[in-house]
Amino acid sequence: MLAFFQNILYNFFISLGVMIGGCFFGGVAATLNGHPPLKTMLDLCNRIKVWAIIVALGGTIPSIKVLEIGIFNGEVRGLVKQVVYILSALLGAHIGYMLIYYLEGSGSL
Amino acid sequence: MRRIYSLISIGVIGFLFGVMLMNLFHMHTLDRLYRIQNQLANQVIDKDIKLKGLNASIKESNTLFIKDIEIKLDFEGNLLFKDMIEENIRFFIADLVGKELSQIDGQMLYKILNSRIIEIEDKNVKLTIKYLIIAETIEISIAATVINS
Repeated sequence: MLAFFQNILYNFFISLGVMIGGCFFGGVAATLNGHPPLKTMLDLCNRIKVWAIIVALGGTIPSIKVLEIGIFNGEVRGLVKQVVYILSALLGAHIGYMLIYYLEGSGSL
Repeated sequence: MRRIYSLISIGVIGFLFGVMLMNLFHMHTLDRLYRIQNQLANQVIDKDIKLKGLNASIKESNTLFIKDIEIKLDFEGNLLFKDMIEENIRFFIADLVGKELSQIDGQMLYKILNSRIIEIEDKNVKLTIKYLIIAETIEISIAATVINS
């Protein structure tokens, strides 16, 4: 059970890190390239959100395999676990997205 | 050897985070400046189109008008200060654009600017006209020198 919660935390923070790190360093690249950094960061945010989840899950194939076993072989526990992992990664990516979005100042916290 | 690699990696990571933080601090300013740049570029395009239309109608009326003023400033010093002097000179003669060429009094224009002392940022700048060409584009060459107040 402990490993399950640990994995949830891992997934959450990995996807959050991918989002924030990717966008921040993408912003640095934009500055060096002579493009508006904030706008580039927001564009990147939209583009890498899904990839952040995939990276956090360690690629999609094992997750899909577990989902397949869960659905077709009745392994409900594995299926639920995998769904929770995906949701935690999704939450991490979304929080990263919101942080960058509010950084722009267009929204209010 | 391991310690050196560790120190290098700390240095590189520190540098990257430093660059990232600097970028974070300045990104709003940079974005604002890019926005202003775009707005100004659009304004220039817009005014260019209007000017083309205006020129076409002037050509039809067969009258010569002052279209532009070209200031050639001879000043040895800070470039930003040079721009300020040019802006100041432009202030005196900008009204000439759009007037009929026959109405321009060259002697008066010379007297307005030659030996004039203008004050910019607590410094007195003396203007000396080198040459003045009055045509559709007025061309003025001016030497500017900072004099002691």
